[in-house]
Amino acid sequence: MTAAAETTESFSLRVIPLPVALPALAFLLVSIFILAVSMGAVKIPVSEVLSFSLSDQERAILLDIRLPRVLLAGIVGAGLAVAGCTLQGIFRNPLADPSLIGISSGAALAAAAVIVLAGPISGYIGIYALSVAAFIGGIAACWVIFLCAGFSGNLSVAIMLLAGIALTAIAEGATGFLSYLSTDQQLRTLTFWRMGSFGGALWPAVIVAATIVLPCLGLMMKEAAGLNVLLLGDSEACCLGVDSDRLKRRLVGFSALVVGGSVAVSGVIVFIGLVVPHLVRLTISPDHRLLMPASALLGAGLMIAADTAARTLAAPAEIPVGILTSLIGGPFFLWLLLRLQREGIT
Amino acid sequence: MARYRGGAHPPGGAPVKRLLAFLLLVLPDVSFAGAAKRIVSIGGAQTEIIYALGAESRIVGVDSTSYWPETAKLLPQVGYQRALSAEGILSLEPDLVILGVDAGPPTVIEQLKQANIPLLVLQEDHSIASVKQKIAAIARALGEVTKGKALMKRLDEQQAALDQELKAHPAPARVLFIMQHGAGSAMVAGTHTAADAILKLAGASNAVTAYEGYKPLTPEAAPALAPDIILVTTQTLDEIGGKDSVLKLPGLALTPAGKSGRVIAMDTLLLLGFGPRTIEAARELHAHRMEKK
Amino acid sequence: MIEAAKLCVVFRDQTILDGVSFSLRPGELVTVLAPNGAGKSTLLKCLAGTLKPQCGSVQINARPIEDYPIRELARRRAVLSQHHAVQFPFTVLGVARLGRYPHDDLPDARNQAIAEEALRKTEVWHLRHRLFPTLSGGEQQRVQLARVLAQIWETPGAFLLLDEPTSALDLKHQQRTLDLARELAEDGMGVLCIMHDLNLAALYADRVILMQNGRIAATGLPEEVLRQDALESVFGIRANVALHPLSGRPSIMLAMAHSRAEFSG
Repeated sequence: MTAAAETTESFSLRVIPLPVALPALAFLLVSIFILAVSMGAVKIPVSEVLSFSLSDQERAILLDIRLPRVLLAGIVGAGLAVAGCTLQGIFRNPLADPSLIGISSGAALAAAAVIVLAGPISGYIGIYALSVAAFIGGIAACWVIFLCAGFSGNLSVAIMLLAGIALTAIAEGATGFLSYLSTDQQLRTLTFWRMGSFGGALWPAVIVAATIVLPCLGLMMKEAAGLNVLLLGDSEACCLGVDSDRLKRRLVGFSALVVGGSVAVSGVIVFIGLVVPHLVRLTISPDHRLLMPASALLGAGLMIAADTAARTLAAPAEIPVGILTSLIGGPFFLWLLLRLQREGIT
Repeated sequence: MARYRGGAHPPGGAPVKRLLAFLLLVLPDVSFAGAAKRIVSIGGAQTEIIYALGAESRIVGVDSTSYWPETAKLLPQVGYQRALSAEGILSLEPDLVILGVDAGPPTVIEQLKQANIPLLVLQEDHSIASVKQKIAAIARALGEVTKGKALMKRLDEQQAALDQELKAHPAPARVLFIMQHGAGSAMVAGTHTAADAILKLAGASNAVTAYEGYKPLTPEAAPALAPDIILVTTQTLDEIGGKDSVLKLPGLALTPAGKSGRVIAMDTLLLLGFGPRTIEAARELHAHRMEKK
Repeated sequence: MIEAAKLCVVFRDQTILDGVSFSLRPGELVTVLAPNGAGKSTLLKCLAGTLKPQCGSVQINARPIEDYPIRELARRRAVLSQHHAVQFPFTVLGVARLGRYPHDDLPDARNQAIAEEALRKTEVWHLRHRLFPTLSGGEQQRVQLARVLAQIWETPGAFLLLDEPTSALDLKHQQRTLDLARELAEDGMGVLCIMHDLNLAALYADRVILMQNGRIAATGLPEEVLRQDALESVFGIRANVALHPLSGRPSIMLAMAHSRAEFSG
């Protein structure tokens, strides 16, 4: 793209030529994946992983512990990043993020309610039940945000963040109340979960997450062109042949499903949905037809990298990955907010 | 004497029981006497027992609650016992992981099982009987049955000495146990807690009988509980900032303990760990209780 | 032809449109003039099909507007609203390209070429690689106009509804934009243009509609409608109306509205 040469504006870093963007990101993801699978508290060299000449112990670690974990991180990372893209498009607001605007909190609250009130449900049914509950919680939070925005109106940054604060506070309070009711064992599950971690990734979680998140990603990406048009405004989109209300409802539903599925298997992981789409817009394109697949690839890659750091930095102990993403995402978010403030886009 | 958690359990207690039963059923029977050479020990009590059996050289990793004896702190750390990492533990190549039922998260335990690591999961009901069960199980797994028996005998002797001391000073005191971690409000121990159990062992009575588990300190309720003594852990004492600060917690000044200024602080693991030092702890608590009366 | 019959719109007990009937034929440029709050934009929304009036009907080529699939409608009429902001760093070309959304059955290259042509028409082609949010208001307005043009490019008999397309433009571009509107009308498009500049309207329009309080106050040729008494009663302005020396169209010259004495009284 020749744009880079001609554009001197402050926020264009479109240095990656469009045709190579997706293949490059895919290559990056594959590299991170291979590295992540070979890294960990137990050393398994890349060459052994690739040739699959492993001892039984190494094979067990690789297949039962690392692979599901890395896959889960990838699925959740891709899901949260695309959900971020979608919500930012729907609300025409680059700061929308499932965790910032309270959708993750709503999802987490609903899932916490299931844990405490229904007791432990093991196996696939348990994870699906948690996912469905988290989905309902996420949808409820979206509905509140739409109420604040006025269904067809634009959502200002201020209103959005305030709604997010309110929703998060409500969800925190309610979760606190639930933890008051809960037994010691449930309390531990809740805490583990509010921090966000892929620590206990088992194959069932991977399968549940994959069956919920991946189809939704496909369906969301199908609406990419419509989402582009939606950025012009609701009635402008209507004039261009986009049924904006229907499109929004569909996309919010898919986003809530993705966030719900992610929260159910890994707890609340913040900022991925904010950071990734923004990086892609900055370096590649804001066009959702490119933005969404690129965010999926980058989101998966970054999440796997963050989780790999979480489990190797303090090995043999580990740091919850939610803490790592907060530490990186928080300052990024502040920087973004200040920049938008300076440019008057609030 | 501490009583079993069984009896009447809280409304949400049933699922936990079910989980415990489930764990017991699926756990491999640990009958590999003497086989364990590389042990990851999770839980302060477990680590103390291994040390007491003189088998500390076989420990290759401990959790963050295993901080006594001092040398245990030098062993590789696998993190907090409730936020373990399966791979971290596996990287230490253990042939036995000893852990309490509290250890988790459950999915990590599941992963360890899938990796065919022998697990020794120890039940806990905050009683001397369960301390002995832990000692017996660990001694068997380590092939140190004789030392295990000697350790249990020592416990019996200590128990006898404690009983003597309690008989000499039967005056029961009402004790309020307070714990504070981080910024939250101070928590008070009710029944069915380790604190409740150690108080009973030490011949004192828990000022709280109305609820189970921990609940936040209610300033208005504190005078009604009328504790003669406030018991805290040294960690809580540091957190709050000294005995005077403890007495300044809302409501405590109006209690008998507040008026007489009686605050006892003891190490968390010693006091609540229910390891081999538990009777020592009870005797120490009793001694504190008797002093400057 | 777009035909609106007896439109009324009531919003929160307030009558915005009160029995407005109106038509726009292919090949004509019609301007709507009215004071603020007279219902111009609401009328435009009804004609565009984005607002359903409580009573009355809108037909396009003798078929009710609500019978059109949303996409087919998008190929037949384009609307430039007053809202131009785009929060995301799209390029100018990227924004113009959005106008081709209803034509995604055509090859990409073709749509791209049309978007570029449209940008040339509104004289912003040289900005095509700039980021839209960094443009000035007037530039943004011209890019949005290009986007709207691209939507109905080479569609004979299409309709173009413009809500104050010149509000942010300098004089030169006001003139260019209306030249363009005339040209499109002469090529067979029906163009409706809401505006505030009476002289530009008088100069370019085939027909002028004066609106007041949700009704049509007058409609007809510029010289029939733009008369001193009508201007006074609709806009509350004092003006002299002369004839433009070259075009022969009305030319409105404002007089000072109030003397000092009247002002203080």
